[in-house]
Amino acid sequence: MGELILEINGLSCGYGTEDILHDINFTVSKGDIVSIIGPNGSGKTTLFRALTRILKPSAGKIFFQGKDLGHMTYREMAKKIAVVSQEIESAWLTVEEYIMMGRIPYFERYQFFETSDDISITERYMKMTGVDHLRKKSMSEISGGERQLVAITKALTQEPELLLLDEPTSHLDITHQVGILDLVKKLNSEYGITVIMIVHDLNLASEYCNKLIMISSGSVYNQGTPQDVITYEALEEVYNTVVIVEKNPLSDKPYVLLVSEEDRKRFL
Amino acid sequence: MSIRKKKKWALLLAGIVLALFIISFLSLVIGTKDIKITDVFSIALNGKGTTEYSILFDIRLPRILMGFAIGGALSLAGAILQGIFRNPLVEPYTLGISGGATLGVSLNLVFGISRSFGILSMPLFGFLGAFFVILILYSLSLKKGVIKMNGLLLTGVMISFVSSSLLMLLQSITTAEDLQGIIFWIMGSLDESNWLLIKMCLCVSIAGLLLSYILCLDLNALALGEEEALHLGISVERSKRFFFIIASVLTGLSVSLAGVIAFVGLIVPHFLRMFIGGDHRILLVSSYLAGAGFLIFCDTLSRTIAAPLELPVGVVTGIIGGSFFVYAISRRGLLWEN
Repeated sequence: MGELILEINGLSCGYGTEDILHDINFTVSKGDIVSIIGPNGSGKTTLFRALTRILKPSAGKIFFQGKDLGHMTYREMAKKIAVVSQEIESAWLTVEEYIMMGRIPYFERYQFFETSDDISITERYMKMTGVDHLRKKSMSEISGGERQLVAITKALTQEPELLLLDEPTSHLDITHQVGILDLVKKLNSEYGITVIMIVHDLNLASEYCNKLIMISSGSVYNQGTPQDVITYEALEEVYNTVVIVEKNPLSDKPYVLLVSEEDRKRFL
Repeated sequence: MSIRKKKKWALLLAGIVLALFIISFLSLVIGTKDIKITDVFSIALNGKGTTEYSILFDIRLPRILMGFAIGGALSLAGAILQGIFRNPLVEPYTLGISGGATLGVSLNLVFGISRSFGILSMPLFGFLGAFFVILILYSLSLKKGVIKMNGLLLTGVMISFVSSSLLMLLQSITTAEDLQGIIFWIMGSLDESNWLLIKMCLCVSIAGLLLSYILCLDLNALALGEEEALHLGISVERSKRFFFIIASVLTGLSVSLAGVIAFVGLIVPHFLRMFIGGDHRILLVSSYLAGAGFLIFCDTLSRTIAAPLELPVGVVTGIIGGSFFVYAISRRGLLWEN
């Protein structure tokens, strides 16, 4: 594996005095696509909040490219780490204005207008993600899939080295799910952007990521390649649900089949 | 920033400035004694000592300047608060901030603080009252996330009720002489003969506008939500504190000098948002200038509509603004997706 971009050492954190995450350890190498998986309420979003410093760790440290994240300014972070949240607020903006906001970390003090650089970077990414035809539309007019694309485009204009995506495919149909993740893959392979995402759909996580981190009640249960992590024993223990794990004939990656109660009774 | 957009902004500003000048000029010549437009310049140049001269420059001009400073201040405070709270219906009045400032100034009047510490202690107490209310709103609605955005308005209305009850309490225990002072002052008017106060008011109000531009991009980012703003590298807590202080100063200043003038901070930024969108780089300055023009207009209306009787300007803005508020709420589904 290549050089480390993110290193999490003994991280504990939570809200108020109660810790939700306990002693989390993992590393992410440059060029990885990592997926954080786990049941609802296992602490995935809390982990993201710690990574973006919205929450302060109660113990442990996070290093980004060898530097303690806690010692970076928010502005420095915004130039290196971009986040696409689950809830995308539309505010009172057009798509173009919204995307242009990604350039805010690069504004000099007392600079009010975007430079021609800012404009050409925005244009380039809008063309790449294919949202430039939406530019004049209001953020509240566009569909959920388009909104997700627009939010990713905004994150790209920050020119990050690490992209954090919080459930980028939830509420989307399969066309858009695959569309978004293909784009993520392309960003990873062509632009070298490291990606960490929270994904609920285990099959998508398995198909698109080279590393999975499975979280269960605030601790890392298992981590490694999809083949290592997605096993029926692990899934049945962490999710408390009976599943069948098979292999995708094209990619050789594991995929998960669910079993209904009726069939459970009939066959098991 | 495309050139087309810059042109659009420049055009809009030019339009607002032009309207502001026309309104101010009309306000100068219209009144119980109408003065011919063509005469204004000759009176200004050689009319010193005449009645017309003193009507123009000792009575009407100060009112226009006060209208400019206070209309701009209130409207700017409204635009800022709407940005921070991400709610297009908040403004100093609907959030109860004006109520807090009123209470502050009344305390000052009742305890005679301005008599011993000078007239400038009035705006100071207005500021303290306004700031206190903003702190309450902030700690209730944002910090703990207990109250959602719609609850915010309700909290503001309740704070207004509480402060007007406290105001009544003050009035009932005070002497008749002070009571008259309070009532006269609450009614509100842009009439101000003290040039020191007029100049101070103009300076503070314009300073508020200039200072707000230091962090106006932060307001843009905050429109996406606080976490999102943080992801864009904004020190959210610092910029909120900054804007809360500016909004409190602007509101405290306005209330202490002109009483409660409702809804200016609601209507003006709200309307402008519909036309130009939510970019605070243009919204702040255009709200300021348009708010100034709007208040001068309302003030001219209030002193001419029932002449020779003069209505408090708060009555006029209250009627126009209150109706608009109801209209805006009924259309909210269309305008504000949330």
